[in-house]
Amino acid sequence: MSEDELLQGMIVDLRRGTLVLAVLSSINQPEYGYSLLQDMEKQGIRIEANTLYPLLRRLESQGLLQSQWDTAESRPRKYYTLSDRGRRLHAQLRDEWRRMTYEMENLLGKDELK
Amino acid sequence: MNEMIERYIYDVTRRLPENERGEIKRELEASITDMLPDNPSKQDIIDVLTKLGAPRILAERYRQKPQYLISPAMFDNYISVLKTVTAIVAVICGCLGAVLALSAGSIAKVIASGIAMAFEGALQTALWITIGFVIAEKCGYKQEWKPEDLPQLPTGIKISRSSSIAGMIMSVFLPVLFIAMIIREESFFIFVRGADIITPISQTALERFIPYLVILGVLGLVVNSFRLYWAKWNVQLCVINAIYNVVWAGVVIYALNWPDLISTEFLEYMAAIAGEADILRYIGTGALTISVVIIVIAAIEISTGIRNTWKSVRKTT
Repeated sequence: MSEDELLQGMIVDLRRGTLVLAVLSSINQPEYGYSLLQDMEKQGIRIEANTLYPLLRRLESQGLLQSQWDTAESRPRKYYTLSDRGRRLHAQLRDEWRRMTYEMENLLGKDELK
Repeated sequence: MNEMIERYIYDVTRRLPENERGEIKRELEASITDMLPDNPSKQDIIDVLTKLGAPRILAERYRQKPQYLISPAMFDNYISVLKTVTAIVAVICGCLGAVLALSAGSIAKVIASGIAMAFEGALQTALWITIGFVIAEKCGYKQEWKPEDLPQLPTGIKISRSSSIAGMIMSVFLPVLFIAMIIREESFFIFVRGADIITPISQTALERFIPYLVILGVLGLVVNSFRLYWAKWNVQLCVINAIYNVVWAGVVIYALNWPDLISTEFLEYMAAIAGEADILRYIGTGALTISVVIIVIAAIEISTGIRNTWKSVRKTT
């Protein structure tokens, strides 16, 4: 396996771990799948549609998100919002992320970002 | 809804649990429509579906639990059980198949029956081992690991798995082969005198020897099973090994002393050449020599066992 392939694999692994936090952080208002995808892309978060849609469903089944179908418009859409549980877990996850990045930054601090 | 999109959604949902299909279908319809412009062209649809990727992969992401019959954690265990047990059962079934076909006639039929049974036995065994592991997996069987469960470091004199399995195979195969030859009266040694075929060993003696062959086969199987199980020399194995060697040497020497061992035709034939008294003496000497050789072989086997056990036990303590 070439160095580049190894690096790509590691980056994918790193990114995968941040996805749930990224999704939970992006749902500030009712969002449907595609709008969320676009919002996140605007924020520079790289996420594929075929990753996001199943992930939304998983988070809903875990009780972090709640959903409601809006059939009033010509295009029916499933809107997701954070549940209470989702809000609590999001806050904890966010704190954990900050702790982790702080520790990592300390560790990496000696090297300047090129 | 466009037909291609419907086919795509169908290809995803058909791989998912039935109770989730309806909802995921609706979600996908909505999401795909959102990703398309109004009045999409065929190319637009193709682009969006390509972006979503293979239905198989999307379905896998929708699935909550990973799909496998035997978890990666159990897989090496499964493979090792599968290999060992299937090999042993195949050989035993093969021998059984050959024996059952003994009366069928030609050697080709006997061999074919052996191969067929071996194949069937191997398939059945593999199937049932797999089913067993799958059931254990489904029941959520988890081996609690404790540090006390760690295996001993291989200090003793090791016995390789392949030699034990080869031993097991031989313990079944050789007796079956001999029994087959005896029942079919395919003689071991033949002397041809003109048009007559003379077998030196009498058929009655050979037939009387069949039960002993069965006992030796079973004993050999037992000894090699223990060799496989313990995989190194210990006192119990040393004792079992000694018993086995005493038994087979004893049985063969006992049979050598049967008065009807040598067929009368052979005795008559040889007497005509060399004189009756001399022939009996030759046979006596021959039997004695063979007995001594057998005793020596058995003694070497037993002492090798004792030596290996001694080394193993001393190394461990």
